[in-house]
Amino acid sequence: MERKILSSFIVINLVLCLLAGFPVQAQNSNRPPASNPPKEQKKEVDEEAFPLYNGVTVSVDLWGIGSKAFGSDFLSSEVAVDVNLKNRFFPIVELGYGGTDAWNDNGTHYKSNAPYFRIGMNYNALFKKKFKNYLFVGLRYAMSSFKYDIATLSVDDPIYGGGIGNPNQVDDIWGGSLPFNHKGMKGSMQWFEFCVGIRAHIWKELYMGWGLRFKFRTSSSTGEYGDPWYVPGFGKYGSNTMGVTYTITYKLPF
Amino acid sequence: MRKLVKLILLCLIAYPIISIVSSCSEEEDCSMNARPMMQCYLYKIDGETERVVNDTLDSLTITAFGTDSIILNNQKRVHGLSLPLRYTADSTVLVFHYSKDVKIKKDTIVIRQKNTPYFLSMDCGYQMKQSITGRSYSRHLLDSIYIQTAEVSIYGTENLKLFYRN
Repeated sequence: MERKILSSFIVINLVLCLLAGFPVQAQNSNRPPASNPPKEQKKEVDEEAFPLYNGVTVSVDLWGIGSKAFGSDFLSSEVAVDVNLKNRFFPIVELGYGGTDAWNDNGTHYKSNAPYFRIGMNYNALFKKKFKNYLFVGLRYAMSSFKYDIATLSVDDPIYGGGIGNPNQVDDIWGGSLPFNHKGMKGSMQWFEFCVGIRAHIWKELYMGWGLRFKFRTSSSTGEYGDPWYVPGFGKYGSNTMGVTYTITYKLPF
Repeated sequence: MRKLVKLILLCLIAYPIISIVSSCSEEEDCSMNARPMMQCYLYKIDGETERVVNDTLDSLTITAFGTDSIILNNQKRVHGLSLPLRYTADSTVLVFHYSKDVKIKKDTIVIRQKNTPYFLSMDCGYQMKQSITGRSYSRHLLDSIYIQTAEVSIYGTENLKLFYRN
């Protein structure tokens, strides 16, 4: 259901961004005259319009910061640099930092902060269009190596003394519980991401974009005493998950 | 300029919607945090064929030594058992009562195990990983115990074979 809604949203977004781009295209002075040339000639003109190198852009993802502001347990942000090659291929490198410092209702405290790294390429499905709006599909290889702390508060009785070491693991037959306090557990994960997204020109050299990411774990390692709950750059630990990006992009002047 | 305004409006509407939708994640499967149970089956050696055959006890009550907990209460026609192991110590003592008749002796089984608490997630909590490292027992009706699988799980995998005398 969630994916259907998001997919519908992306389609609507794309349509609106394309509509936003059409007036620019209409005003483009380079556009051929009303008497359209034959199709073959027009194709040649389009292909010649884009040299191999079309500039470098720097993007900042604001989704992680925004979702934290809306109550998420996770905070992350990343910077991406891509190169526009023939307006079609966009090799990209992304570097980010993610973290969490959360408690649950049963007194478990989970803390982790670490960087993550992605490398991959976007493909602009609208590469023939001269307007500055893009429809991307892409692939990423990502990795993160991180440490995480997990601790559970013991429940003590301040009046009569004694207490329960770990209320999450009480032995209901023999009584008692085992405390749980493990810091600095090491984990790592590698995964692939399949991305779809849009980037629209908003002002001068500034662009804005939305994207969806479908993430598939390829390998991981965990600590001896527990799975990680949060993997920087990936999200909740599991075999696959989905992410959203909201990026502001600046095209460098060279 | 109109394009910019249009996009800003779009963002203002879309951002909270996507935030809400993406935060509504599906509930995790927390079946892994169930208590692992040591699965035992009863056998005997057939005197004529000298083959291992299934055995069944007419009546069995199992208690946790040192507590008043009854793990199995006068169950009839018993062939398979699911028994918990202790979380907070490295051994578990279980007493097998075969009858209410005091003349019929009880068997006491001591299982030595390694307990490892394991964090699953913030939603599902913890599981206890337990692994059998040894066993000792009295031999009134019981003949021997064979460890089939050391790892105790929630999946019903056979851990112990309990061999009874004929």
